Amino acid sequence: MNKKKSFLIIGIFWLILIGGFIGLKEYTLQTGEEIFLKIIPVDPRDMFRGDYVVLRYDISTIDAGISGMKDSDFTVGEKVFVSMKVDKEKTGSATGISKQTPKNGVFIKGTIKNISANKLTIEYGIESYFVPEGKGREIERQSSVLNAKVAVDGSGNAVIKSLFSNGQEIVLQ
Amino acid sequence: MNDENQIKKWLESGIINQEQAGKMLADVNQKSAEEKSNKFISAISIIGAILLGIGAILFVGSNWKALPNVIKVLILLGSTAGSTYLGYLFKYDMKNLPRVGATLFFLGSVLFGASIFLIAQIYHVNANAHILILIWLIGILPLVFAFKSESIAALSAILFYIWMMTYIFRNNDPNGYVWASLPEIALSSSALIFGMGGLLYLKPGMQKVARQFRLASVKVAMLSLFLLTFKTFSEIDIHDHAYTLGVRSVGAQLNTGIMFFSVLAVLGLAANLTLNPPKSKTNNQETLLSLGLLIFMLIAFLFPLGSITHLIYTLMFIPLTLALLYFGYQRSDIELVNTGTFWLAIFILAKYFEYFMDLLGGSLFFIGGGLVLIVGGMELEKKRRQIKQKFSHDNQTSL
Repeated sequence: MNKKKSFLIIGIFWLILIGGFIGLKEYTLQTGEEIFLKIIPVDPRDMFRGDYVVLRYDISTIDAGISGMKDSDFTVGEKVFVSMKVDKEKTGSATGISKQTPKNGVFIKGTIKNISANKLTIEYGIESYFVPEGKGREIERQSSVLNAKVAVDGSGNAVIKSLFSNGQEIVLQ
Repeated sequence: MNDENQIKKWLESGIINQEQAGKMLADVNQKSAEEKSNKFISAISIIGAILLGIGAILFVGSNWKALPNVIKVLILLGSTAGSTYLGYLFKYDMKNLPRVGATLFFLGSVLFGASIFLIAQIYHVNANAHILILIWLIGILPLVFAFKSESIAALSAILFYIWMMTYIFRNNDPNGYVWASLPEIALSSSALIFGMGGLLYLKPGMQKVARQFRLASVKVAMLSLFLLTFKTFSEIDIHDHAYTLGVRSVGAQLNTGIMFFSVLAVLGLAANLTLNPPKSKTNNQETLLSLGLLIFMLIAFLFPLGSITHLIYTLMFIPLTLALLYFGYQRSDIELVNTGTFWLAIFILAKYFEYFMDLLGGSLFFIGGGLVLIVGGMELEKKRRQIKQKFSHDNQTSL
């Protein structure tokens, strides 16, 4: 294969990789259900690492017994699905955990990061929120009642849309 | 210098006359001046590419809200496409500025990575997601094979190490103790890259790329081995510590990662032994040494040897460094000799500090250390130059 053809093929491959990446995220944002997740305060020194905020949610730690299972039924690195109940204010809370995709309702896909004393620490891919350089402290100084507005699609994939402080969207310039 | 000496020899032995010698020397000098100019151009364009790459990364890092996300993505993607295309034109199509072209081509692959990270930032993808590095690596690997780019091969080797470590540690707290096992992970993946890189010699035209992969693996292996000569890295008992913390399966995850890469490494090294892809007389010795090192590392990792582990690594380090110098000499490969010399010097310096800092008084320690460094440095440099001069007369296959 000559170099010109190789170059064109690689160019198309790059477009597919980047387009696919953007496409997957946009699909979740456009078609996903919007819910609010309560952010659990963490050590402020760890929370704001320079240009991104580390987020921990109410649902980041779940009792393994929530669906009648034990911690020994799970392994670190395993994919799980957390079923959510969404209230009138559109705030989500965990109601169950399973290893198979739930058939109905809102659910979010995560990976078990840690198992300790019957508690499962789960990561959902929405634990980082990028802020403009030097703006992390602005968020830190605000009220500690923070919520994240998240879009969750039909496969359980989640993307953060924005952060809210005491019900007001945090807008950073 | 080599050409000038040759011309003088021919003149002395009467093969050529004075006029011919003069013309040949003029050609040699012109060629030398051109090479110097090319090196200068390369250096300038490489610095320019590095600055542009850093600028792109900082552009992403600053998360500048003044520009809409779509514009930011278009700027970065446009720069990626432009740089890669110009690099392709200059080096592979028009071939009028090959060195600048190679640099722009490399810059394109760096900007591709910056684009991925920008998109990840826009969608708030987890900052330590190993998948981002993997996409970057998968994206640039075709450039390595289609265009036989050595610089992109070196970049892909670095990305492989970074991806492998972020993948193995994906479920661990990066501030935890598990970082101490990084040298062992790096060692197993170095053996893998060394073996797999060797197999690339089987594909016509890939010798230089294979060399880049193997050199990268040797350098990372030496760094890993050096770290393992310290107790902090070689004697932490991952399994006991994991249970003490009440954290299950952390040991299992590390084990799986290291075992997986080690199995692949063994297969690659076995294939090297059987096929001898570089067609080199030292291939079997190098491969067996790599296998031996890998096996020892696995034994020490899976069945902790306690307080003697760092001593064994220390006793292994010097012969391994000397082996590197030996292979470099056998292959007339100055890069291997430089690597071996560098690590020998660092090792001696580090152990001098470790063992003699408390034994000797402050002034004696620094006087002794300074003398060793000056004399040792002079001797090493003299020897290195002798070897380099000798190599310039040979044109053998290198690593």
